[in-house]
Amino acid sequence: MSLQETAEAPVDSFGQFFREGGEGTVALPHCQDCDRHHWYPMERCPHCFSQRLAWGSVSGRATVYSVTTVRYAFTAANRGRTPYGIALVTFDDVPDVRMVCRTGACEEGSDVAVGDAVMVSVTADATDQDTGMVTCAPLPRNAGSGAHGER
Amino acid sequence: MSSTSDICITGIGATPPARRSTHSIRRLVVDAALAAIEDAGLRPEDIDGMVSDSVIMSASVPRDWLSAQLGITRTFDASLSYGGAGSVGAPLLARTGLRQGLCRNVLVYFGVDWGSRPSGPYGFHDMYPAKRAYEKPIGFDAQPEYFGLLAARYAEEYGLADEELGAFAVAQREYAVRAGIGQKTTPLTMEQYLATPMISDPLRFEDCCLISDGAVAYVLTVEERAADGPHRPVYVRGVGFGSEATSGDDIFSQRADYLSFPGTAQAVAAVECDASLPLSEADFAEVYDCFTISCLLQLEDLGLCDRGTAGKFALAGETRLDGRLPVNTHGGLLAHSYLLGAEHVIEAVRQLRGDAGPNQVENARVGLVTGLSVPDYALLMLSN
Repeated sequence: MSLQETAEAPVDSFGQFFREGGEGTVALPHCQDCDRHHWYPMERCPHCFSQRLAWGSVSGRATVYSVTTVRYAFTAANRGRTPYGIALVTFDDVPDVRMVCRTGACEEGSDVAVGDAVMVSVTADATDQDTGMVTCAPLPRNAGSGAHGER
Repeated sequence: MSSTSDICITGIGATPPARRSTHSIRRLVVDAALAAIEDAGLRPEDIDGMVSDSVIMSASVPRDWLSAQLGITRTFDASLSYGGAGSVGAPLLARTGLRQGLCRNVLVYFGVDWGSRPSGPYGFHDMYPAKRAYEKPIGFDAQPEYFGLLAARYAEEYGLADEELGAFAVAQREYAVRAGIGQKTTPLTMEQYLATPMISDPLRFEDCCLISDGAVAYVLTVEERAADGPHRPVYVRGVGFGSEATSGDDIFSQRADYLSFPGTAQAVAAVECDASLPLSEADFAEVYDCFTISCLLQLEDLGLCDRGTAGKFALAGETRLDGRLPVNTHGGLLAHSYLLGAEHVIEAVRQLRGDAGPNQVENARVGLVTGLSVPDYALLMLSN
């Protein structure tokens, strides 16, 4: 299920998530004992409570679980950037892990809907690699899906 | 010396609800505390126990500071959770102090200055690392978005007409306008509700609670002494607290049972056992309503409505004064003020004293109060 494993590393911050992720690739904390992923980073696996955790990359292919269009800027950073979409997605490889992503939106609403297939991309901030942006974009219904096949 | 005496709320105090107060939060808490103590027929030096929430008051109006202002010597001191679950669950701790004879009169208090504080409520969740490092930079940075996602998922699973959420906002505005003691004093029709701007779909402006400055306090003592006070005692019939193995980081995205709040099952079991009464015996409910959808979800979590039906329950008028279960009879966080649910306790006491004026629930005997402080939850059953 997990495509790549990095060396065992502390899973206690977001730096590795942003540095190892990319376009269509998402690094998640992965338990070496029960082989399950989780999110957010934790000291112990929430499934088996092992502390043998590493980062493991999964495909960014995901399905929209819920989505909202944000039309009001609650913080200065988003002033002039509304409306934008916030989607909660589940990964096709790890359906019990959900991730909050930013997505596009216009006055009519966000550009993804519940149930849509999307691709998640992770971009580290240029100056502070411990933070960054996570987006999801709609996938064409019949897009090639690599090793995972059609779902 | 320990006892199994019932404990009662004998005094309540509240500052006038305000979007922005000219007073500091510390002054507001002093005012509310003095009002509650006087309402109980006591003097400040009669108070010897204090309970507050563990996070907000402990940081902004600590119990030692308040004791110094009021001349209170404490032999009992405790704190619980944060915000609403702390204020609603406080009798759980107060009862321990009172029954064990550690103290005679317990003051519970809570205040908030999110109306005048520049970051308002949005800065509060910065205490969670995932919020700071991950969610905020993405733009998942405010409570209406967290609850907007919940409402959108609910709509997907059960269907949710706009008017079903609106029914909560409209009904609570009716209460607030009739009571005339809250921040909202003008009526809200369904048409007006539907015309207010979307904030975070499907939540509109009027689905979101107010922002306020203010404070409330209440006084508890054992049944034997409660009869000495000037008001009809209000009995703590049952109190329950619950929380689950989920953190503030995870709660708005990772919970497997996404559409229910953690801790509710534990709190329901605890309060029903403590009160020897099912929640369905409540004649009215003051339900933590930071958003219309949070009130809707709790009515289902608590088993007061079947899954997928709470919106229809509200739309049928069942949460109004003449409905099957009057809900948030002062207007709640949506229309009275947003003191994180502490004022819900005060309103339940008013109802059970028969002091709720135009919003008095006829023959009110048992009232339910909920405190939602995800991932913590508290329930309080009061009776007269």
